[in-house]
Amino acid sequence: MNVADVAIAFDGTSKRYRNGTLALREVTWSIPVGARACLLGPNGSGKTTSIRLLQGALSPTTGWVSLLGQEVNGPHYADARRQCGIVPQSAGMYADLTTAEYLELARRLYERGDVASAIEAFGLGEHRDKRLAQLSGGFQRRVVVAAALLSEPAVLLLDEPTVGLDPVAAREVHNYLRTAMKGRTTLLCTHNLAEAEALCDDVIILRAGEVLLHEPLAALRERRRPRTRLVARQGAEELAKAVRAHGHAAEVVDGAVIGVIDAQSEAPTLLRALLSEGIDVYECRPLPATLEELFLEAVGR
Amino acid sequence: MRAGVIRSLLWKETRQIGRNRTAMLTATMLPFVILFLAPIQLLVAMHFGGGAEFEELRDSQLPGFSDVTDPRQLLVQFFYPMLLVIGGLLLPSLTTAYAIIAERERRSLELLIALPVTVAEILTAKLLAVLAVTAVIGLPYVAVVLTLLLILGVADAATIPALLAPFTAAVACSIGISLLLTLLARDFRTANNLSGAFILPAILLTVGILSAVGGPARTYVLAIVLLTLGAVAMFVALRWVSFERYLE
Repeated sequence: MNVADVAIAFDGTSKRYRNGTLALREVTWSIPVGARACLLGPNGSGKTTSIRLLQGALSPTTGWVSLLGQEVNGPHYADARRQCGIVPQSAGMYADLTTAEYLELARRLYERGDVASAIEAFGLGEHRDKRLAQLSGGFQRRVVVAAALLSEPAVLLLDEPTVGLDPVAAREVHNYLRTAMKGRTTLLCTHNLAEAEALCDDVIILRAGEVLLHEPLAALRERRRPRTRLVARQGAEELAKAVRAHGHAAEVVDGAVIGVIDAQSEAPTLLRALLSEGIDVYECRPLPATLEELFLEAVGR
Repeated sequence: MRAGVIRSLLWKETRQIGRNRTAMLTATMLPFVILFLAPIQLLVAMHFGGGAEFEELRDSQLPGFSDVTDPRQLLVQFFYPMLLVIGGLLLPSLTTAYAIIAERERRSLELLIALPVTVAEILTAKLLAVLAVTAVIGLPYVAVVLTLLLILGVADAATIPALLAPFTAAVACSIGISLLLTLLARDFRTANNLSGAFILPAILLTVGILSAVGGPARTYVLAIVLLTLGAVAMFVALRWVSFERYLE
């Protein structure tokens, strides 16, 4: 990949904190310009450390990190940083700054953007003169997203953007993000696998500071063995026995049989056979692999 | 470090400090008492008496008092510099604790570093804001007292820099030490306790230097010692303690 095509890169990067914790262990990964990648991993896997290294708040112990081709904290990093909007993980809110003042601070620091338009676009009009700490969780997150997008950045770093929000507020934030992510390089750190699945194309899985997997979500799905869900009038146990008799692995889950069966190439033959044997199958549908299953498979590996 | 960024952060910091009633009330009242009320009271006392105390100090054989021949000089050479140092040490320590610890306690540092700023720029803006607040609150009191000393003939023009030197050095020292203590402390209470624990030895050091060093150099010697202390504290804070602690 050409250097100019790389939006975010970690090269042999390690980060050891002063208390001795090794948060990242010589990780090497990159995402190209325009990609929408999610950074997944259990607690303490190094997700937030990665974001803090990218934003220049921490320095790597070894290796280097680059943003839009510029080494973080290098001579031209400030220009790259101004092209990057960041939504931090459940940050505390100022009790002594209003919405308009915080957005004005963001505008001054990014050296571009229109506060009035951002307030209108994010429906913050009624709250422009309220102190940030007085806003509800959903509105606080809207302000943070508005500040991140104020300067029309080329790169978006989203660190658990909906954590702690109720489902309605989370859906609102998702809608804003879905629009905002169009045409932008995005790195989304999340625990919420449904969120990652809905918003991203590529997956990077970290565990204990190491990259476990870095692949397009589609490729990950293709690699996984196909599964089909079957339900029969005779019950799950009898159906499972019959499916196994035809050479397919099968397990009973919630009154149905989940079989390792390719819906397109294997299911029609199997269904014909089962029906002819007197097993009344009345439901048969392919099960696309969820990111949760893929994640658990990868982490458990 | 970019000047535009520092200006923008300074705008934020001064707004926040100005809006905190507790910080502003403490930062205004303490200097009023120490830098204005106390020196005026001493000036009046020295003007209309105080000879007995002066005789006692002159007979104490302390080298710092050997050249003090006039009771009013005791105010200019000893008491007022001491008050200037106490005021200079107290005033920035309150606002530094507020500017730094508040950011940590409410976890708003995350919000700030999400914007395109560096940790060094954040710290610089905070310290400049503390300096600005100290100057705006402290300097008018000092200016009024110095003017009175000049008008009453207690001090001459040459004495003014000798009095301003320990005050500015105390402010610088306080900023350095407060930075170190607030970076070490996890909350307001600990920061204030640490600051309080530092003030007493600092006052004893001030009294010691003013009593031990004679001649017009005494306040400059005091200023140099305070500046050295502040510089060491600032170096330790930035080199070994660092703002990164708040993010780890």
